[in-house]
Amino acid sequence: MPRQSAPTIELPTLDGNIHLLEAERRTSGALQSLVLDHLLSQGTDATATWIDSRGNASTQPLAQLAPSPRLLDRIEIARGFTAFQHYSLLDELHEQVTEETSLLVLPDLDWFYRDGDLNHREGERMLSEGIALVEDVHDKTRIPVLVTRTNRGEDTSPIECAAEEVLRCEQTSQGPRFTGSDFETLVYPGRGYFQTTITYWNRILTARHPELGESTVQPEVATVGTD
Amino acid sequence: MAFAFDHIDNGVCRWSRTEDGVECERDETYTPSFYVSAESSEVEDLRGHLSMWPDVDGVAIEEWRRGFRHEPERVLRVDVTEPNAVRSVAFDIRGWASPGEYRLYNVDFSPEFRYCLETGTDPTPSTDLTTMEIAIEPRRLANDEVGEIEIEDREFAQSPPFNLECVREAMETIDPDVLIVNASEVLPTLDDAADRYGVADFHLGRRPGFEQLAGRSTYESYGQVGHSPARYNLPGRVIIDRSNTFFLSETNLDGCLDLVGRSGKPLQELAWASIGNVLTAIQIKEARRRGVLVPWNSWRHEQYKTMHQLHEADRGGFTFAPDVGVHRGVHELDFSSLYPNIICQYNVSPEKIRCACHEDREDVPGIGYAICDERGYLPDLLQPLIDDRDAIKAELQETDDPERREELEGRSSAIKWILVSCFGYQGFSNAKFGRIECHEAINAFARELLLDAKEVLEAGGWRVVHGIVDSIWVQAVDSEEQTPLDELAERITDRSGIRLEHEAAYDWVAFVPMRDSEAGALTKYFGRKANAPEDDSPYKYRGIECRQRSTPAFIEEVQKELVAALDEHQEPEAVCDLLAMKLAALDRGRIDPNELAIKNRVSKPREEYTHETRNVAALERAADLGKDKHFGEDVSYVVVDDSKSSRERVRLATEGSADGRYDSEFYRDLTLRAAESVLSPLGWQRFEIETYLADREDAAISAF
Repeated sequence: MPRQSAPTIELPTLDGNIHLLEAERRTSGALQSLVLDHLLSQGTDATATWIDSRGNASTQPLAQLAPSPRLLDRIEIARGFTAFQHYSLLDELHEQVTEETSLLVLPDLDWFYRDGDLNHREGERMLSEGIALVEDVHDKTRIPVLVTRTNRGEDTSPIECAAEEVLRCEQTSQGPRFTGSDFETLVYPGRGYFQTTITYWNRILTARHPELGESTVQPEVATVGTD
Repeated sequence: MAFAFDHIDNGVCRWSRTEDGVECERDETYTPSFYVSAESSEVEDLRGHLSMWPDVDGVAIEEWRRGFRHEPERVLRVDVTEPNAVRSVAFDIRGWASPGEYRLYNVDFSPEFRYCLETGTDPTPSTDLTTMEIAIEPRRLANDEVGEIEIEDREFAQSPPFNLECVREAMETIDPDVLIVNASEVLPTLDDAADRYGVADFHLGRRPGFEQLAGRSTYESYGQVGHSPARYNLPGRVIIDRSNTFFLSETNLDGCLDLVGRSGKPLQELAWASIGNVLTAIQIKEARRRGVLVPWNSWRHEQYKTMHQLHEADRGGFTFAPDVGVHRGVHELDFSSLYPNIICQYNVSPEKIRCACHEDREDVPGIGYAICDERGYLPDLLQPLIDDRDAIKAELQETDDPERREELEGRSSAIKWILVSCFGYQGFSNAKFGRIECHEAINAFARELLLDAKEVLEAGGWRVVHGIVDSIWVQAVDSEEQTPLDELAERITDRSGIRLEHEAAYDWVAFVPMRDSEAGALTKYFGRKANAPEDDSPYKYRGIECRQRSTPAFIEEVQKELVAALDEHQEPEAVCDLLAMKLAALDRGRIDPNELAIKNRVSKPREEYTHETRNVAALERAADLGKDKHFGEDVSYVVVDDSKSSRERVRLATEGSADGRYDSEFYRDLTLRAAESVLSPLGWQRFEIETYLADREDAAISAF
C-alpha cells in the first residue's frame, strides 16, 4: 500500500475504503495532510467533500499547508454547529457527491452526539444512523472515506465497526509514523528529530508533489496585537 | 392591559392595573400548543396516536410556514394540558422515528411569554406600576436570618417578628405590582421566618401560593461560567431579583418596559432574560405575525462552500493593530450601530443570503455570496429599532425634564443592547433564527467599510493609529495639510450609507503593549479627552487593571493616580516617584485591607480545581465558616500570606480584619503590574521601573 513514486517520503494512500484515522494529538496536521496529498495525487478536477465538526476545518492550518492555494477551491466544506445540523449534513451527503468527488472527510464524527441537548439514547441512535448514512453513500460510490473520532470509548465503537481500515499515526523520534493492517510507513526516515509543525507537513507535501514547484504559500502575516 | 400571568390550577390568572387598583381575570380556556412537521411521512398519521397520549389535550391540522424561506404547509398542532408538558411530549415525538423525521416547533418558550404570544396579549401595563424594594444582606440570607431588613431604603433592625411585621405592613400599604429584591432567596427566607415566628396574615403574593419556577443552576456561555439563582413566582406580582437581571441593571424600569412591548415578554420574564433571549423573543413575535413557526432544534445546516471561501469568511472583524506609545491629538471616529446598519443597508437576512434565485451573483465582498433583491425580515425587524433609538437620542438632546430624560436614557440603552447583540447572535450555534453565513457576510461588509474609510482618511492627511471593528483612531500627519475630519466623515457616510461619527477627541492616548511584548494589545489603552465636561473625569481607560472587576480598590485608585501623574508630567520618572510613595505606604501596612479585597467568580466546584489557587483557599475558608460558595458566585478575599497553599493564604472580606494584616509583597507585585500598564507605552517595562525604584532608594539611603 505505501506509495512507490517517492521512495524517501511516504504517506499512506487512501483507496476506496472507509479509513479511520487514529492520530496522536502531537501529530496535528496529519488529517489535513492526508486530504491534501490525496487531492494532489488525483486529477486536477478531483474534489473532496468535508463535513466538519468541532472546528477541525480551521482554515489557517489548511491554507498554510496547501502547497497551492488553488487546492483550497477543491475542498467543499459545510460545518455542523449542532448535532441536528451535523446529522442533516450526513443525511444529505448523497446529494453532494458528484463525478468529481474523490474523498469524503468526516473529522470527529461522534463529537456532537455527546451533546447535552440530546438524551443519551438519542445521541447513540443519531450516531449509529448517521454512520449508516455514510456507509450507504460509500457502498454506492466506493469513494474513499476518511473519518476520525474524538475518543476510543465504547460509545464510538460503531465508527470502528464501519471502518474497513484503521490508520494509526504516532509521533516517533524519527518523525510521524503511519501504521495500518498491512503496512508501516515512516513519513520521512532517518533525519533525527522532527516536529510535526505546519512547516513540516508543508515540506512533505511539496516534496511529494514537485510539479507544484517551490512552496508558494507564505505563512500569513500574523495580526499584530491579537491577545 | 395585563402585566403578570400566573399559571394556577390549569388556568391563567391575568393581572391588570386599573384606575382604582388591580384586577384579576381568570382564563380557563387556554391550552399551550406546539407544532410538528414530518419529512417523508404524513404528519396526519400521528394524529390518532397523539390524541391518546398522556398530557395531550387535542390535535389539529393547520397551515404554517416552517421557516421564513418556506411557503405554508400542513403541520400538526398539539395542545397540551399545561406549559410544563410541552417539552416532555416534544421529546417523546422526536424519538418516534429516525432522527430528523419529525421536526418540532414552538417548544421552548417561557410560560408567560407563550401565553401572551398564543393569545395575542400585549403584556405592556397600561398605567404606571407600583414598586417596592426589599433587601437582606447575603450573609444573613445564608443563615436564614431576618434581624435586619431593608424596606424601600429604610433599615428595620429590631426583633425578627417586628421586622416581619413591618414587611407585612409595607406590603399592605404599597401593595406593589413589582417586588424588587436584592436576591431571590429573600422571598423564601421571609416566608419561612414568618411561619417560624408565627406572624399572622403574612402574604408576599396577592393570593396565597408560592412557587419555585427554577432551582439554582449554573450555565456556560461564551466560555464564561454563569450562575443563575433560583427563581420564584408570587401570584399577582412581578418579581425582579437584582442579582439576576441584566436589563434592570443595565437600563431602568422604563428600558425594561420598552422591551416588554417589543418582545411580548412580560416584565418578570424580561427582567431575568438575557439579551439573546429578548432578541429571540422579538424575532418570534415577528415570525408569528408572518405565520412562521419557531424551530426547536437547529436542523438547517450551512450551505457548502469551498475551503477557500471559508478561509476568506473566517477572517473576523477589521483590526488595525495599535501603534504602541503615547500619541497627541488623537481623534476617534465610529460607525454608528455598524452591524445593525449593515444588516439593514445590505439586506443581510438569514432567509435571503445565498438565495437560489441569484446564485451567480457575488454581492458580499471577498466571499462572493449572493443576497436576494427581496427585502428580508431581519432588516425589517431591526430598522424600527435603529430609527426609534435615533429618535430617542434626538429627543434627549432637546429635553431638560429629568424624569423624561431618565425614561429616554433607559429606553435608548435597552435598545442599544439588542442592536449590539444582533451580529453575534447570527454566529451563535443554538440561535433559533441565526445563520452563520449572515455572520460572515456582516463581517465581510464591515471589513470593506473600514478599509474604505481608512483610505479616505489617509488621503485627507490623517494617519490611522488604531482601528478595531467599528472605530478608527487617527492623528494628523505633520507634513501634510488636513481635510477637516467632519468633512471626511461626511464623505465616508455618503459613500457607505452608514453614518461615521466623530466620537471623541483626545489630548493624548496611550496604547499599551501586550505584556512581555512590544506589539500593541488591541483593547488596552488610556487617554485624556479633550474638552471633557467639568464634572466628568477627563480620563478614559480600557482593558487595563482599573477596569477589571477583580482588581482591588487600592490598585484601581493607584493606577488612576499614576495616569493623572503621567498626564501632568509626561515623563516616567515622575510617575515612578508617585508609585514609590504608594508602595511605601503599602509596605508599612498603612492600607485598609478592605481596599485590598480581590473579587473573583467561582468558575467550578471546589473539587474540580486541580491547583491550590487563592480562589481555592478562599472557597475552603468559606466552607469552613459554613458559607459554601456555589460556582458562578463571587468570592471576595484579602491575601494574607501568599507563600502558604492552605486556607491560611487568604482571609474572606466578610470575616472582617481586626489585625489589618495583608501580604504586602503580593500587593506590591499587583501594584507594579498596574504601574507597568501605565508606563509601558513610554517604553518602561517592569525591569526599568524596578531599576528606577532601586536607584531611588539607594539615593535616599545615601542622603542620610
